[in-house]
Amino acid sequence: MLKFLTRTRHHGKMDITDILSWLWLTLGTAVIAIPIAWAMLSSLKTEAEVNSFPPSLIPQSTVNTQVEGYDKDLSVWKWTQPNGEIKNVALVRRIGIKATVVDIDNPEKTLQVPTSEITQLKDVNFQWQNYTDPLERFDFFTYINNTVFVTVVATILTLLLNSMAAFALSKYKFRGKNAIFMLILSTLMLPLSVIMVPAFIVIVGLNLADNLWGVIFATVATPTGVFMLRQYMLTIPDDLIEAARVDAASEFRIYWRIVLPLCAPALAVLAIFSVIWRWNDFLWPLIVLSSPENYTLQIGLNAFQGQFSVEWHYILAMTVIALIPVTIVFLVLQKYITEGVAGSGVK
Amino acid sequence: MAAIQLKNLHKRYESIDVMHHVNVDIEDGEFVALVGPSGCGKSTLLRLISGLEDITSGEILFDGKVVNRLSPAEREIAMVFQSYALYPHMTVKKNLSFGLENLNMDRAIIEERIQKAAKLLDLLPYMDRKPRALSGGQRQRVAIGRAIVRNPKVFLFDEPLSNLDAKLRVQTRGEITKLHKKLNTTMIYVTHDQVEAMTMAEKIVVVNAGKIEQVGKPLDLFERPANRFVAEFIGSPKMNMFKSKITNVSDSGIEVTSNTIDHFCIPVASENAKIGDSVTLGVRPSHIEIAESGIPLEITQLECMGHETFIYGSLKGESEDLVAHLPHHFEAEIGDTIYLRFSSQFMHVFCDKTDQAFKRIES
Repeated sequence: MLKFLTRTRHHGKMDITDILSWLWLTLGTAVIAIPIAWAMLSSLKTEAEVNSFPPSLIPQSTVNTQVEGYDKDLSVWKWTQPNGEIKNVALVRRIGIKATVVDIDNPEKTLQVPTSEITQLKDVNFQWQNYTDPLERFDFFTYINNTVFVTVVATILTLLLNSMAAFALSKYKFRGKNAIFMLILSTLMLPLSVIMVPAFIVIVGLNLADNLWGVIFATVATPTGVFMLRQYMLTIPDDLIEAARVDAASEFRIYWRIVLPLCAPALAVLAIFSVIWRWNDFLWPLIVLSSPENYTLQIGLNAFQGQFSVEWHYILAMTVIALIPVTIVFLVLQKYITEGVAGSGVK
Repeated sequence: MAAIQLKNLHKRYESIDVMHHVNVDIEDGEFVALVGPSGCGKSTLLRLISGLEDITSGEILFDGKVVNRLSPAEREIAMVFQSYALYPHMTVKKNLSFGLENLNMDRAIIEERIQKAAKLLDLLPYMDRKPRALSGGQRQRVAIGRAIVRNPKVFLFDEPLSNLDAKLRVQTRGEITKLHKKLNTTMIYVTHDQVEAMTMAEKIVVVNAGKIEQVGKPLDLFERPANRFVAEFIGSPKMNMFKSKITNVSDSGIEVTSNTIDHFCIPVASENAKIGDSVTLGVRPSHIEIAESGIPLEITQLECMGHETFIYGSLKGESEDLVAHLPHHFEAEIGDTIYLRFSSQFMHVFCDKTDQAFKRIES
């Protein structure tokens, strides 16, 4: 590992390119990783601390203690006395630049000290309840169930339908083939916001409003997927398909046993895209789904965002959980992306 | 096994005719080579026979039955592609069994057939490898194995040796010929290499610009080319051609005079010959001898192989270079002048109007 990291362009000598590539890669890593690290750390902070300024990096919380004669817990502060002595005191109240504190060891006596002499004590504290509270307070498992269902079914249908379309468009000769392909591609130029209303009317007409299938059906045919798979399939030699035809394979078998396995890298890329799209989808599910038991996770998360307050600590915690499945899918499929299978059997 | 007949076969792509009224008979168990220059339509002809391509008009018969509308699988053909077209994601074993699995054949029979083919082609050590882990020659054998396991009626080869190096090509050539003797199945073999065709085939079909120029046994084509194209295409190096005129016609042959190589009386049928017609004289490089005196040739290039020698030179008044082939070593310098003798019994005469050869009178 160390050897890998300290490789240089010329053996045993630093080159300007080494320094530049280190700088560039470090910068890139920072740009990508800092927001995620920040979100993860912040998801473990208390609500007050998420909103505090200046922000803290490590989740911390104030230290409180029970003091005799006081109903509520008091926060512990560090008092640096003018003679240099340091003592822990509990803060009773604070008015302007004067604070009333009480000696923890000797609770009868209160002291008046300037606020400049005291600093609040904090210790590292992970707020795991940010994760556990929402699970109890809101229907997390229903939401995640719905999201997983939509993501898995939509991805499988996307892969199937798009690869079938791509197979026909790349390997068959028929009249109007290019026109159909251009038509499919041209839909790339229509953003969702333009077709939202007509699409919703279609979904209502199909009686699929407030139904997870309404979310799925509208999204499975993607021009990006058809385009990507078609371009990849064009690189599969026609000879292979003809050889299979000579080998008495039916057209479906050619698609299923020859073309699909050879498209594995392209399918993996599309699968990752599809999972990310469907998992993060917000606008379309928000339009289609209306009853809470059909909500997907992203719509559910929206519930933490009220008109006047935003419960950031919960949103961040649930966002971190929502990241996990996508990350796992990427880790599993990433090796397929780089593995070029097709073409190696020819010549 | 099957006998194949092509009757008046015609193929058109949009508005371009690529095959013109092709008629060929192929006997059961015959090894036929389709040869011709690049782009002459020989591969198209093979694809038409295979059923991968539809014919525009005409008939293809397998054992007397019209198969025009049948798919390649229904025609029971097997094809070896130029690129081998092995399925890259399957092991050698899977590659061999794929075609049989498609026919819903019994597992035990599939296994038996694969083992038999693998043994025949020496593929047993590689059964679990993927094609990319095989050498060119091994891939080639897998491609042939995939064809064999299906026990096809006809084997079709589309330039199967063109991706191999020279040594392996000669070796595989012999193996395919042996295989044909063993299986005794009809084989149709496309190649642009006339040496392959001459050494392997029992019958050669010469294709040019979508037309059949001549069909015959390899030696027939060499000794009795029907027209100028076949004469120039078959044989290496190419036949020497000289512009000439008919000066006399008799029952025993025709007399031809050329500006550069004097006049000859050639024993060919003289029905269509008229005095004064312009013709072309053809002489194979191997039918030229060196003599003390005769037609002078200035040597411009010399290729000595040790056991044979090729001499290139120019004749006065001829635009094209002449080639002579001697079956022995020959010492000479570039720029030397040597004297050549042609013997009229090995000469070919082609009519300039039709490019057809005058028929030889067999003695």
